[in-house]
Amino acid sequence: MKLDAAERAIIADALIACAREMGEKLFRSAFSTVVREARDASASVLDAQGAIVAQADLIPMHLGSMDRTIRPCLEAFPRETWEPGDVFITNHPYQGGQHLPDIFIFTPVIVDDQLIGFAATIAHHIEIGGGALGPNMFATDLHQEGVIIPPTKINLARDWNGGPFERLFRANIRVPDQVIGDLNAQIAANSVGESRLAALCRKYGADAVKSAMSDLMDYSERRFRSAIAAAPNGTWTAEDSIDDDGFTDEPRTVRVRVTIADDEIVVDFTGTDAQLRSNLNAPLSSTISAALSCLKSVLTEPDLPFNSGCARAVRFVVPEGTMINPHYPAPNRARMEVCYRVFNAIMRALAAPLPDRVIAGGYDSTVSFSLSRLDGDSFRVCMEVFGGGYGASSTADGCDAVDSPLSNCANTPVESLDMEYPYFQVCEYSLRDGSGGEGIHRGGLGFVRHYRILNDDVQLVFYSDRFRNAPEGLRGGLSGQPGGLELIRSGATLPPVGKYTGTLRTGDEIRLFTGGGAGFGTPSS
Amino acid sequence: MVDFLTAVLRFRGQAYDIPVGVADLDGLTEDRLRADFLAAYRQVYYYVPSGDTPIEIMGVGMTMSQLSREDVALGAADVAAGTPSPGRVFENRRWHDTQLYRQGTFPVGVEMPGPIQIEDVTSTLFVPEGWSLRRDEHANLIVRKVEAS
Repeated sequence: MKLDAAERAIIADALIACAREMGEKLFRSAFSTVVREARDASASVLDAQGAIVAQADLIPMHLGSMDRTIRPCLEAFPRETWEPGDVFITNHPYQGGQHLPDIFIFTPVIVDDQLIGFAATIAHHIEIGGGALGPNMFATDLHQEGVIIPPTKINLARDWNGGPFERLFRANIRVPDQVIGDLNAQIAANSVGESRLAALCRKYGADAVKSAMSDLMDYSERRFRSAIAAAPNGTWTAEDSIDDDGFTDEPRTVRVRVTIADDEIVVDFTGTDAQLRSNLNAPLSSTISAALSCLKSVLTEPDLPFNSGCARAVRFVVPEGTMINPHYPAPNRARMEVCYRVFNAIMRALAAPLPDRVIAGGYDSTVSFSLSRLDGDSFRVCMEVFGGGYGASSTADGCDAVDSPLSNCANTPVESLDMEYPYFQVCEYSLRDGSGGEGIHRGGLGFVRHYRILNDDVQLVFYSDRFRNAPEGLRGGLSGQPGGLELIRSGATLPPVGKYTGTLRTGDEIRLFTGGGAGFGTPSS
Repeated sequence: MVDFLTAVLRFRGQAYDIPVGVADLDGLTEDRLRADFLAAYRQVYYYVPSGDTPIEIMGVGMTMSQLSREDVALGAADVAAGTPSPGRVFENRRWHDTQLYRQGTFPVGVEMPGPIQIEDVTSTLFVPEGWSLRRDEHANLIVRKVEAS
């Protein structure tokens, strides 16, 4: 169906608005601090084939690969098996998912027996069961990390709301009220999307809406290809490393070769280190999301609608058995750390042909920080996700104390933590002076967060990166400061560590300082 | 006179609540309020989880109106002008010393050059150097850019 330009633009913007409203409704009806405060969740509208049409501007890491996530669901459950009230749910990292806490829900949108598309949400859930209270840092296979939900079709009336699937799931997680509450928030957000898409179909006709979906992806593809074509042709290589593999002090490296040929780009990760025994592996969907996020941010303008159209201009080579495309059952809870090195390596490779469009290395790590406690017969789990300082660019200082680019989560307010968690206290939350690398533009500052433990038997699980290897500057800019975490007990300070699991007691203190971004340009000039 | 009464409710554990209008105070029961909340919830979210998640009342609002022939000066007359304390603000990569006022204590009708901070319960206003601040008789804070001499 051919639409005129005005009608196409109106429907396209309505699709994007639909995704944004879904995201807001998800946050507003969520239960856990990690979703309602840190906003670690995302929303999208997919077409009838599962391609991403529109997405809210939320977590880049969640969004670039939703088409890969829904595909196994559609293969497992053909259209003729669907019933009213069915939704698809999955968190399987080796069947299109990311890591286990990230649960995807897809709701089909059917108008007059015609499949229009899917309302899709993903949320990082505060707890997902498994072998430890908080993230299981010692997991050596996926099963030790939590409940695995393969691509599954459930019916909300039959299987959820006290039905068998909900009962089975509820019994395998430690904080079911919050996790089930957040899943209900996802279902609500999808219902909002379903309603909005149906209303669009009633107003403009289903054919017009489907045509606008296709046009929107074509539009993004054209602009993405045009941005690639504006860059010089050539091949550039780069690498970046995580501090260690979680068991030894040996860094592990992501290597990339980026080739720009007219309006296409090839990203080849051949030479990247092999998969790890620890949880620092990234499943393929995560790697692709990280890579697409970097390409989009470097090559295009912020107003470009990001959808599956963009990915058509990119070809990926990601060797199997590497830490960015591991074989089942490699654990991958901490996949963000290696995904950031994917992001950084591509950014470095593009620094040569596009020096004014890249940024210096930032702290670019996820600080996953969990304080949990068993109180009588009920668990309490606090999960926070932190970033640090952004790298500087040719035009501006790096942002101070924000989550890193792939995550984009908000900082959870201290007041909210005080209300929810009586077993610890945040004593200090401040910018970390001097942590940003100097330059013509300086790197963003990291921050300091100081906790005091108020009860015995509090479980601390913590992991991050860039505790040894500082982010590097560009064009003479200086490195940012690495991060660290100190445990203070009875007045003695244990040395900083990058990964930790242990039991704390009353009076213990934790001092977390996240790293700063690197500078851009030689400071003296 | 009371125009209408509103209860704000949410499922326990959520951070955002939903206002529910109460038209008939005499006929108000727990079941009625619960049913009205679930209906309002469905209107906002298009989905209501079943089950026994408790619902909590976060507040009750009452709207009243009264005709008056007199102008009302909001908050201007009832708070005396206060003395500022020293404050600091970090902006443009350096600290600035400021005069810090609590909300309502900035003198009425006086125009003062920045840097000034006004602290309210839920917000802080920072008036940088090169700008001035005046508070009018209705408690409006008026910020103006100072003309370069």
